Amino acid sequence: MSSVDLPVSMLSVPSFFGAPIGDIEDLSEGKIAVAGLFCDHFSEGEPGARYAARQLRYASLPVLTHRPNIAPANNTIDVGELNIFPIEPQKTLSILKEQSFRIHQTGAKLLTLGGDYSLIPALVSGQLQARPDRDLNIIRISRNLDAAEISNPQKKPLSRSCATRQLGEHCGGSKSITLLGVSDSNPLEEFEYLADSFVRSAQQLSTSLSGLTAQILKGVPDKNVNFYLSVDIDVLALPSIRSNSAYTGTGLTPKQLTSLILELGKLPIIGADVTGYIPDLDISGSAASVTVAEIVKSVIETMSQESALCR
Amino acid sequence: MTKLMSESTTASTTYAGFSETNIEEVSQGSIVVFGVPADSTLPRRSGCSNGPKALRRATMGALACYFNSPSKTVVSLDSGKATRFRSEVIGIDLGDLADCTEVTIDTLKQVEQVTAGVHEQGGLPVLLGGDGRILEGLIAGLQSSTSEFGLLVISNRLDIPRVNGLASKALSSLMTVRTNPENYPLLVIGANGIQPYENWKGIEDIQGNVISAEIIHEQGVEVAVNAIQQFGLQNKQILCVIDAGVLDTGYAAGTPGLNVGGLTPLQLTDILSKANVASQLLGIGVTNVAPLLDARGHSQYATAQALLAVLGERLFEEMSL
Repeated sequence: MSSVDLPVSMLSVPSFFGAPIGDIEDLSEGKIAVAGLFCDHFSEGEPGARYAARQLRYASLPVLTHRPNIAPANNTIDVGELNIFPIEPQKTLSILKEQSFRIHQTGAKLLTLGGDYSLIPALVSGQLQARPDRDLNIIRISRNLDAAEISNPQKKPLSRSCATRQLGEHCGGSKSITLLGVSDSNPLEEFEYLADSFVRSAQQLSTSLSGLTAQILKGVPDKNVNFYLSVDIDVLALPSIRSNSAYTGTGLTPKQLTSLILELGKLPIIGADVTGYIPDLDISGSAASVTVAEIVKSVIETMSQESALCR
Repeated sequence: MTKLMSESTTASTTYAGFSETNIEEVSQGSIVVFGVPADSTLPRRSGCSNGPKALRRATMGALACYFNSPSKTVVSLDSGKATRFRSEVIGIDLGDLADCTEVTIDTLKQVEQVTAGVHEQGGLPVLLGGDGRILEGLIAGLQSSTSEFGLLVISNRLDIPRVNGLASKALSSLMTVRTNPENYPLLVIGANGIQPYENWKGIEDIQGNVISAEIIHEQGVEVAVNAIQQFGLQNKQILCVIDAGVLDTGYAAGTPGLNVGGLTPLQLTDILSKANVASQLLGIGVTNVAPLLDARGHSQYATAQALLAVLGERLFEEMSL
């Protein structure tokens, strides 16, 4: 009896896409460390995204997806959940930065799943520390800009509403930010901050992706640059998926989103995250989780690609 | 006035950040929101008692992009237009009706009393339901203090069924009080599915107009927009009723009834924002939101956005960049 034929209750501990479960010692150049983020405690949205990683582990099991070939490239290793301190934001920020630094020091790429976007600046900060030799640009796929002014960072070091601006500060300003799939309504002041950034709405992307990566690179002065890809599930228009932003009915379809992510594989993506997914913890929720698992798979494929551009 | 409202809203937040105060504070031109957490009774699915609370929360979610902006202004990348939330607008949230669990004669009387009180003081009553039958109270309250208005009903149904001995055929009850019962200004948008023959007949008798969901799917939202605009030319004052049941079940399952082939949330907000009847509004009723029936939470968001689209220029203004 193959493992695919076993009932879910008889399977061994599920990992992302059935990838081997490993530790930092197992990481090296060319590997992708996939980690869960059990943290939505500092989010201004609806809680629940902390459960995304758990749900995605189950949803990516071939027995549930009825897709034996869903497993991505064999360079992925499930390194478990990153450590966080749910009621101590400053300590969470420090520990995430440290863990990201140590994983990237091995030469592996880090992909985090679940949790909230407010945590991502800490991870990117650790990545920059581990790889100071090359510039890092951010590609953010989300409905929201999240570029509000940073107010009182000591009291509130983790905040989704200003996370994009924090990323910009880490990476050398708003020019280093690319925003894709933004909604039709975003705050004026945030657009002003992003005046020098490459920004495309969901509607603009849904017409054509042709030449997108070349356009992104055109605005980058140093072609020897790496990219960090941040995907928020709130960019989806599909009403069957619950995310942490209010539903407006505009956005990308899952197919458009995976096509966009695969198109970005032409760029050197050295780190990524998928946030914003709040799983429905029931039978119907598994359908949405399988959709998100497919999106995660496209992110892993993109991270595994040898970038055609920026060589 | 008799104390009708509970001490505080049952929601953790007020509607659109409006001030939480009492009916005596209502002034000319103010938008006055009140909740009626009256649940549906059999044979419909229950859950509408959570509607007001869910609508308030969903509205804050829908307005988050405005409230995240110091100038309360958002920009559309696609159209290049900027829109500002009018924070100077006088908005009042009266809270929820006290001791209201399901639709009874007393509930309808209370709704009528609050509606009439708000209208007499020059406010725009905005009812957050609650089961669809509470509209009778809203309609009665307005009829007691004003003579003529057109009724714009965004619903998949052509009437509200008789339950628990209530004289609850809302649309039919309108016709009896009209001076000219053969020409009642009624426009129904989004009707869908099989409807009782007597309701079709009743609407035909009063020369009402129905634009079905099917027509909108086939001909586009413009057919509904044009009908509403025409309706606006014929009626100085409009009472707008949004029944969440008009939305297709695939998009918004959180309603007491199911509606396969209904409007999409985008169609609904598109119609209401393009029709632009904000300046003619006499009152608004939003009903049949049962959030617990929609685990994804889209029903209340879609309905909240439809309400914001109806309020249109009363809450928002276009800015030049």
